[in-house]
Amino acid sequence: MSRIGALALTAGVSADAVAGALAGYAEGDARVVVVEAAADADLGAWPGERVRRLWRDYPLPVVFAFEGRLAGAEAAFALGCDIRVCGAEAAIELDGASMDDLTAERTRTLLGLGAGDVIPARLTAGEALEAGLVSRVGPAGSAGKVARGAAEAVAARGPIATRLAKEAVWRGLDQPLEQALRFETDLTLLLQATKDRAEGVRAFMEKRPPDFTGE
Amino acid sequence: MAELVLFDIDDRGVATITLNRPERLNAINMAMRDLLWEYLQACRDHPDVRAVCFRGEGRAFSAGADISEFGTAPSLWESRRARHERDVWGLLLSLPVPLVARLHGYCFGAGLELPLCCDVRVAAEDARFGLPEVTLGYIPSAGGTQTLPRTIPPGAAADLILTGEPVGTEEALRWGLVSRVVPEAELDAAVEEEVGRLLAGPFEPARPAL
Repeated sequence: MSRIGALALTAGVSADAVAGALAGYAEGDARVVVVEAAADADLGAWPGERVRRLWRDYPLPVVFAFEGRLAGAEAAFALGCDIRVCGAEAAIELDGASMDDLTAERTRTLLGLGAGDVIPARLTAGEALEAGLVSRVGPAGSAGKVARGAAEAVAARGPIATRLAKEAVWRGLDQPLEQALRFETDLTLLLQATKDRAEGVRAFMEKRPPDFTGE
Repeated sequence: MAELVLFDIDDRGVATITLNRPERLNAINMAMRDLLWEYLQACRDHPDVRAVCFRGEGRAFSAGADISEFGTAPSLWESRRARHERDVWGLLLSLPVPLVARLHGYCFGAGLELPLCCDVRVAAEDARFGLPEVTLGYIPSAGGTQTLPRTIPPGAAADLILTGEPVGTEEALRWGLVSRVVPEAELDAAVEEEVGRLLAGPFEPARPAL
């Protein structure tokens, strides 16, 4: 499935190697990337600039899957992704005191916290789901499968649409609503000029699956 | 032919706007958007209107925009101008009275974006919520990419918007997409209760702030 880029965070996979692999997927045919964190993952560091680059500048939607305990650089990486999923026994640790500003800001955005609110130190899978920090929880051990399910859905959609949807959500959130609504309108008008949008409507009317080409 | 959108104001000043195209699951077409524009202006200008309630006739609140009309706009430039001049969703967000959505069955696309401009959303147990636009190579265009992440946790909103996959009432309640879920037989009573509560107290808007 060349449409789904896959990355495993395991021992020996450095932050630079991950950044390089992501850049490669963005240049190729991938429409979405799935990142699975293994128990022995050791990115070393994933600073706030890289967290922000993931949600703000990286063009493809990224789905992050984890089991067990997620903390440190791997947790920071997860915060930068678009969709997070985990197994039922997982937990995420967020060390608010040692976070850099951009990572803390992203954490607050995802948890709906104000500037003065304390970042919770640890959320179980259930708590993370309640808070919307993860959007899907599967049985223990199934996070990778759950993530691939979400990624397959994204990969089947119009690839220009999913890129612009990502941009609309995260960049729009920083704008005053009135401006953000105009931003959305302009992105939809841009999509109206694409072959994919015409194919999507045609396929729907003909009751067949769409064949999106990214044009 | 029956009116595609019904409009009524009761003696308490509660306006009810009913999507009335049940044979098409209340798919919102241009004629309906024109009627919504007209009725929302009436709600804004009529001094007696104290609350607005939205509902859908038939099996669903609304399955979304009428896709058969997609691609019929004269030009992108004209589309943009028309959108800015007749901003139905912006008008909705700016109404100074409480807005309540009575939701059941499919609440997809514009059928979710309209309720996202409201202050209170009450749903029947059979309700399903989704922004499936990316399945059409498109993105939500009635404010959904902005109102959903301001209503539910933005990571959850990103999941719905990027995958196009719907959620049920359990997720909707968990993330605050709706404030209350009841059996369908009790939906009218629950909506009435919410309207009564809003009429009785000082009104604090709960919709995304313009």
